Amino acid sequence: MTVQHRFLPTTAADRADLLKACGVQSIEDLLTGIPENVRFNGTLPSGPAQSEMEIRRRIRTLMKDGRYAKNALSFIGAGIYDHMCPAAVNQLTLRGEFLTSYTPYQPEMSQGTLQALFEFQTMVAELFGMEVSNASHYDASTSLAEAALMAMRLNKDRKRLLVSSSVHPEYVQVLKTYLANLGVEMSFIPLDGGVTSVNSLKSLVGEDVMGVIIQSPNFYGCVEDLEALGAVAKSKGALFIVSTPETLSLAVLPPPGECGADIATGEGQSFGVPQSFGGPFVGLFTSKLEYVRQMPGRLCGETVDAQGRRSYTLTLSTREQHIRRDKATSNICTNQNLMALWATIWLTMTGKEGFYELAVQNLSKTEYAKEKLLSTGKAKLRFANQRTFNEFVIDINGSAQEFFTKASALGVAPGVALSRFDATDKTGLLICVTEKKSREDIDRLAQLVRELA
Amino acid sequence: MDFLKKSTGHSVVLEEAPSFEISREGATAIGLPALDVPRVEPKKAFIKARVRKARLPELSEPEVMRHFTRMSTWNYAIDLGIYPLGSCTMKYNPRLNEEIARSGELSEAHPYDPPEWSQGHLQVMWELTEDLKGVTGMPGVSLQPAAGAHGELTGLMLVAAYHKAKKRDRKTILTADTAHGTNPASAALAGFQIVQIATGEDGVIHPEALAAVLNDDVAALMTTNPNTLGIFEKNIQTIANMLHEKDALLYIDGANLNAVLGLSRPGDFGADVIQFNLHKTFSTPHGGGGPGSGPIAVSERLLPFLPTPRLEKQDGKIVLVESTPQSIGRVKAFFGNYGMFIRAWCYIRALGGEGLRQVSENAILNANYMRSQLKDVLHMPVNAPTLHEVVFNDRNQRDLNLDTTKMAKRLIDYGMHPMTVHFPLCVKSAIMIEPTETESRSEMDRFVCALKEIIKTPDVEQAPTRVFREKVDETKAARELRLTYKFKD
Ligand SMILES: Cc1ncc(COP(=O)(O)O)c(C=O)c1O
Repeated sequence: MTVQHRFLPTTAADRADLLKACGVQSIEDLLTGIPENVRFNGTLPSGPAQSEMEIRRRIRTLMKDGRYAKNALSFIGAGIYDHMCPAAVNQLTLRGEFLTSYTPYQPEMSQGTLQALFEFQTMVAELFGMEVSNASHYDASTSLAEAALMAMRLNKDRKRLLVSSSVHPEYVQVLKTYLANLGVEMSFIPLDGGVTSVNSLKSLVGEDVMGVIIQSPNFYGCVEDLEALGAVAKSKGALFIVSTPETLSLAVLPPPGECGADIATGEGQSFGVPQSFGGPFVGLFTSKLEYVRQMPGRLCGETVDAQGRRSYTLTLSTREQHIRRDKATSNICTNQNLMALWATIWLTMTGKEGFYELAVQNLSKTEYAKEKLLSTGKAKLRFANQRTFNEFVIDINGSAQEFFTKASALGVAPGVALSRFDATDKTGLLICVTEKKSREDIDRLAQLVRELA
Repeated sequence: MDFLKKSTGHSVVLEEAPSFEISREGATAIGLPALDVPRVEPKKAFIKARVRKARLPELSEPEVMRHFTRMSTWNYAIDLGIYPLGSCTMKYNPRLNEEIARSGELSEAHPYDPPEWSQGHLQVMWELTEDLKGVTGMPGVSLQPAAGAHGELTGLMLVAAYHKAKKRDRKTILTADTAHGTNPASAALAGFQIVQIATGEDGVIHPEALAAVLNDDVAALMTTNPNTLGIFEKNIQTIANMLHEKDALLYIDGANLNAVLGLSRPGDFGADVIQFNLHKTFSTPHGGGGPGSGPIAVSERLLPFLPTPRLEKQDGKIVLVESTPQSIGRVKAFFGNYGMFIRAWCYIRALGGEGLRQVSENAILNANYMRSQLKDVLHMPVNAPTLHEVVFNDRNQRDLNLDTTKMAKRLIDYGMHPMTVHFPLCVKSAIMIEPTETESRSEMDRFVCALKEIIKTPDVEQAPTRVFREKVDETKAARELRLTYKFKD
């Protein structure tokens, strides 16, 4: 007797019954809709069916030289931050009711997802100090690109977009791709000692600028003076757009909303979401209430049911593609819901005091690391006058890339060599220190600098 | 037939207020190790620090566990029963894939790790790329887009780049009236204008209809195949030839690939670009609305324009090439939703090439079974061979006190998620059913039985009522916007 594949409940006997009910002899009779000239008669090249045991074994073999198998130590950040995550977050997001449900289009059957989204929107808006948050975006880079598109809609008659040179280089690449065919003129605001130059912004900004994009903490880890930059942007009617990849910093830094941001975006990966080789993460998107009708993405709102009980539903969907089609504020459909849930549970567990304390630990360990590295005599702080949260740039004795290679051979990824983004930058190393690094870990990094640089 | 009395399927369903209301000062659900370096206060470290701490809830670990577990019981899910949303492909999500994707080996890696540490991850990406090439018969793949709509946008940017490289400005994208909303929205975002083609009586695009609108401004035609009526575009080869004659391109929305794995390959009829929805066809969980993953495959014509970074083999090692001369560039930071690649990779390995074809065959068999069981009670506006999904409307019910929306809401009271309704737009009051291959006959029979009972008892006014929340007031939600919790202080 042939045994069905484990994912398929239809046995040979069932199949015969179903075919009979359909009034046909064989599956082939059901395929007449596919014209003969476009039928494929070969076998797909994906090999034989494998058992769970075989797949596990293969994965283990493939990953044998990975960071985990090596029990490596890493100081790499640059847009992805290695924060602690309580075990319960993973467990709760494995619940089938969350994991295997669809987008909550039928609110009566998805109040669990919807209330979680409402809590998510509330917490994200609170962290950014903004009035509204959407229900998530793909990641911070696409959030930022959509913020630029939103600025285009709100400032229709303006053609220029100003972007700080301290924005994550990969976010800038995404912005460029998104804007390539839309007639936007994008220019970059130079830096002054590691942060966006307020004076340069003053001379660049004009009545034809739709928006000004600033990242803080910026790509080099430095905290930007959002208030001053925002004031200049707004003096000419440009929208002030902020991007925050390391959102744990919002625990201790003034929220963008209090610094005049019109749109504030960021990365929710910092809320315990696994690094997972770059995704899935959760893009955050917030704005002022007056712009809500131009916002991209889903929104969850509170309402009541037929019995007057507090309930939730997706709302303002007339902005969205399934209603408005080519006039929609965005094409986004599937977003990052489960990762938004992950972030929500993490933020709930971390809580008001824990979130603050975690940020203080990052700050403290980073300051300790700076001191330790300086004491080696083989590294200098590139932007010694700037304030940083949990990332900073050192100029290392010799080539940063060579140091990176030597250290990683010993099981330590010491940061990101900035030559990755700018070939002329030979000595820069971007180092991130989160709460997960112990004093010994930091001392080890310093020791390696002393020995290898 | 017996149906559950609560639509979420849980025997105990408890109320639970938003976390902000049950929060109590001093509670926490995390413990941190004592700080092992000198403490630095934010007020000292920054010129200006945050003044008021963010009002996150304060709860202990057991309270958080109950909070979210209770909320989870208010959801319906594929793990509970049939979820026949047409076009959405709600199939079973194998759990090995979760175990592997969430294991430290995979989830702790950083994309900027030293290349020697990353070979395993790149190998997974390489193999998935090869799988997707195999499924489509197309020579190039990019895994970068984060979801179907993102793949569409990327694909259309490639189309724009193709024409730009030929130094011409083409502004029109043709779509069919069966198109999903993301198609026109993506086209607009890529800087194009839409011209819509009406499908024929038989539910497909006809060469004559295409000829009427095909001119030198057409950059591409975008169509789903099989289309959103569950019908294979039988003229697709002719259509592809007509487009190529004008040097216009063929975009296939691959959301419905679950119907054709191993049965038909878009590359064989000349498709130039297609997006996959790994969260549909390759069973990565929908997660209540994402994360998804929307890789694209392309023809020779579009290879030079694929996004960067690109996977290449150099001296037996897999590397990511960061820039190539004609590329449109990057559409997302890092390498895409890698965690979803893993799940899809596991799924494809579990089935193998032969198993993938069985998936499509069984999906088609199940949809045809639904059709056979419902065709006597529901009207079929288009009578053509059904593949993986079948579309009806409410014409037979119009004289009764029943319509599409009501039928959907009443199904909830039978403990089942409704089908897709009011889509595709070319069918008024559409009822779109896609059971997928992972439903058993008895599960499909329960659905059919419930729908027939509803049709037999059209006069029930209120629905749903056997639920945690009855009909939710969506008008009030939009009129009196409450998008965040209003704190007392
Ligand atoms: C036919 C079709 N095309 C495109 C999409 C968009 O895919 P995604 O939701 O992954 O962005 C969908 C999904 O809803 C669809 O059904």
